[in-house]
Amino acid sequence: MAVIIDYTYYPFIADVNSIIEYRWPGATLVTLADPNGIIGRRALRILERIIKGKDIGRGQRTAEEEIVAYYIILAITKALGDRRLINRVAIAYSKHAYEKLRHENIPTLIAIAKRIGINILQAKNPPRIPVKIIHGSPAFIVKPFAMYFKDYLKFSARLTGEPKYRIVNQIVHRGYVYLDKDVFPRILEEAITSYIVNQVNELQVRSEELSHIIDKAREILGKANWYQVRAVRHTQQGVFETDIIDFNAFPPCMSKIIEALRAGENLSHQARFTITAFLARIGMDVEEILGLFKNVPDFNEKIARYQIEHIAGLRGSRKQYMPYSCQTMKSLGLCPVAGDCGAKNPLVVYRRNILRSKYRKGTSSGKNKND
Amino acid sequence: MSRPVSSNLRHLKSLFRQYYSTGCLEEPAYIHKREIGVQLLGETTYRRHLSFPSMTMLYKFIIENPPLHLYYSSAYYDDPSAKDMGAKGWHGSDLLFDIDADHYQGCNSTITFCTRCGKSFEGTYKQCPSCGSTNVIAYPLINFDCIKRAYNDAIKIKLVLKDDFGLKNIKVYFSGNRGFHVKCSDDEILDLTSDERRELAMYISLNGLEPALVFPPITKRKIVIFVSQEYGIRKRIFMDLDHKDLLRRRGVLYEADYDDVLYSIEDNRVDIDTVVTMDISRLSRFGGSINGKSGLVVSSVGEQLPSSYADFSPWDGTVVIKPVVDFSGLPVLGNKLNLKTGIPIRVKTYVGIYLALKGLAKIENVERVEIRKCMMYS
Repeated sequence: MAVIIDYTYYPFIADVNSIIEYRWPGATLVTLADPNGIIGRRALRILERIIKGKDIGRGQRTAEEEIVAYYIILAITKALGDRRLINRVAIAYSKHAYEKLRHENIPTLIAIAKRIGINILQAKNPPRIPVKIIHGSPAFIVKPFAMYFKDYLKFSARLTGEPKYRIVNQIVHRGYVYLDKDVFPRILEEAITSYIVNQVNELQVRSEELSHIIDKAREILGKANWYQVRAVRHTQQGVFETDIIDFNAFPPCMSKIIEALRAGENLSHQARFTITAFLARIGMDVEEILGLFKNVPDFNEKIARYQIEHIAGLRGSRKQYMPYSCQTMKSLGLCPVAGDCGAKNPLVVYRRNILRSKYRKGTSSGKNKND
Repeated sequence: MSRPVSSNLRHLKSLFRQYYSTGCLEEPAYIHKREIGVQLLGETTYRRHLSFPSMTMLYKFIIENPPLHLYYSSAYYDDPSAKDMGAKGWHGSDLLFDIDADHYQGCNSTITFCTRCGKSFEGTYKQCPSCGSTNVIAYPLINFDCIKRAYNDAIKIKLVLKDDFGLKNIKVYFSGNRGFHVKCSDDEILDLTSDERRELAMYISLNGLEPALVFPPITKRKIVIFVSQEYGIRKRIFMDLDHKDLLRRRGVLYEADYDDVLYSIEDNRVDIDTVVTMDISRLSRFGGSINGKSGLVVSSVGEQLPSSYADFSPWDGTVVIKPVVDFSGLPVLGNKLNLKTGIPIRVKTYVGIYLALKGLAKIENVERVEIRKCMMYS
C-alpha cells in the first residue's frame, strides 16, 4: 500500500518554506499574509471558524494554499500570545486531521506519526485478537501499530477515562504498545495537538511585519466575543472570591480542571462531569458554570446548559449528582495528588479548607493581639 | 549505674554501629544527587533533606549517628538538601513498586500487648481492652510463607517490566520487614510523570483491566480464543490457563471458558501500593541497611529467596534479653519463645534484637554477638 499524504488535512507536517519557494518564488510567509490576499483571507476565515467552534472545513483552496494559511494562523496565535487560542487552534487542526486519519491506510498512518516524531513501527507479526467466528473461522482485530510505551503513556494521558485507551487494556511487548486501527488514530490526534502547540511555541514571529493581518484577526476575535468571554470570566472570579465560592479552597483536582477550562483545553467527559457536579454542589449557579465552559473548544451553549442543569438536578430525574469520589478520581487519572488529601470526596476537602481558612482568619487576629 | 532503657539503646547503637562499620551498604547511582533521610536510634522523628557527596561521607555520618532507618530518594536532584521540594531541581526518579505481605489473606494477624497490665489480645487495639491504657504494642505475626508469596509477586513485576516494557536494570529487594521493593533505574523511565507511573502501576496490578476488551468472549458458549503466538497480558493468561490445564486445542487455535479467563486474571493480579509508584520524590531504604522495625537487612534478592528470616540477619551468635511482657509460645521470626517479664533469657541475636525493636524486651548482654559478612542474594 502506498503512502499518500493529503496535506490539506495535515498542514503541520509540511515544510512551508520549501512550498513557498517552489509555488511562489520570491514570496515569504509575511508577503503572503496579506489580509486582502487569497491566502490571508482563507487564514482569517479558518480562524473565525475555529473560534466559533466550527470545524476547519474544506475550502476551495489548493493544498499549498491551505498549508500557508495554516502557518499564517500559527503566526497570528503566536503574536497574540493567547494560550487559550493556541489550544483552540491546535485542537481544531488535530480534530480536522482525525477525520482523515480514521480512513488512512497503515503505511500512511505510520508515515504521519513518524513525521511528528513518534517512535512507531509497523509490526511484522502483529498481535491478533479473535473477536468472533464467521463460518467456522475466527475473525481477528489486528494490532499492527507498535508505539514505544513512553510515547503511548504521554499521548494517552488525557484519554485514560476511557478504558479502551488505558495501557492496561493494550497488548504490550518488549517496550512497544500494539494498537489497532480504532485506537491508534485517536492517540495520533492527541499527539498532533501536542505537536501543533510545540510548533507555535517554537515559532519565531516578528509581530510588526504581520501587523495588518493581526489587526484583522483581533477584529474577528472581538466580533466573535472572544475577549468578552474572558472578561466575564474575570468578573465571575471576582464574585466567587468575595461571595460564596472560594477558589483558594478548591481541592487540587478541581483546581487543575478549572485551570484547564480557563486555558480552553479539551477536557474529557469525566472531567467535565465531575467539575460540574462539584461546582453545582458548592452552590455555583448554572449561568456561572456555563461561563466557565464557554472557553472549551467544542462549546455548544444549548447542549452545555442542558447537561449542567441535568447534573445540578434541575432536569430529568431531578437527582443532583455528586462529583466522583477521590478513589474514582484517582482511577480516572484526574487526581494530581501523589498521596491523598485525607478525604473520600473532593467536596469534603473543599469544606475542610473553607473551615480551616475561617479558623486561620480567627487565630491570626488573636495572634495580632498578643503581638 | 545506667538505667535499663539507656542500656538497651546503648547496646542497639553499638550493634548497629558495628554492622555499618563493615561497609555493607549498596551505593545508589549518583549518591550526590539523592536526598538522604534518616531516623536515628533514640530519636522519634525523621531527618530529611540530607545530602552527602560520597559514600565515605555518608558512612562517617552513620557510624557517628547509627540510624534506625536509612533512606535515599528515588529522585535525582540538582540540590538534594534544599528544604523546599520545588527548589531541589528534579531531574528524574527511579521507578518503584512496593509489595506488602500483610495484604495477603491470613498474613495480617496481630497480637496487642499491654505494657501496663501485661495482658495480650489477638488483633490490633489502640487501647488495652482490659485496663484502657494506651501503652500498647501491636506485634505482627507474619510467617515466612507470606514473605514467599510477596517475593513471588515481586518476581512477577520484574518479569512484566522486562518482557512487556523491555526494561533491564531491575532489582528486587526484601524490605527487611514484611515486603519487597522492586526498583527500576533504566534511563527510559527516569522522566516519567506521576500520572504515567500510575498507569504503569495499573498495568502491573491489572486494576482497570476490562476483560471483555482484551479477552473478548465469543459465541453463545462464552469462550475466549487464543492464537499460538500471544503477547503481553494475553500471553501470561494463556500460559496460566495452559499450566492449569484449562486450554482446549481447536485446530491451530486454543480456546478457554471466559469464566476460567476471569479467574486466571484474578490469580495474575499483583497487589501493589499505587501511591508509592506514583510518588516521584519517595524515599526508599538503602540496600544493605538495617530495617529498624525488624533488625533485618534490606537485601537484594535474585532467582532464589533465602529459606528463612535468619538469612537476613546481619548478626550471628546470641544475646541476653529481659522480656517486658508475659507470653508462652510467641512466634518470633520462625522461632517460638516463652517470655516471662523480667526473667532474662539467652536467644539468637536476630530474635533478641527483633523483640527489642518491637519494644517487647530489653537487651541485657551482647558479648556473644558476631557480625556477619555482607549479604548478597542476587
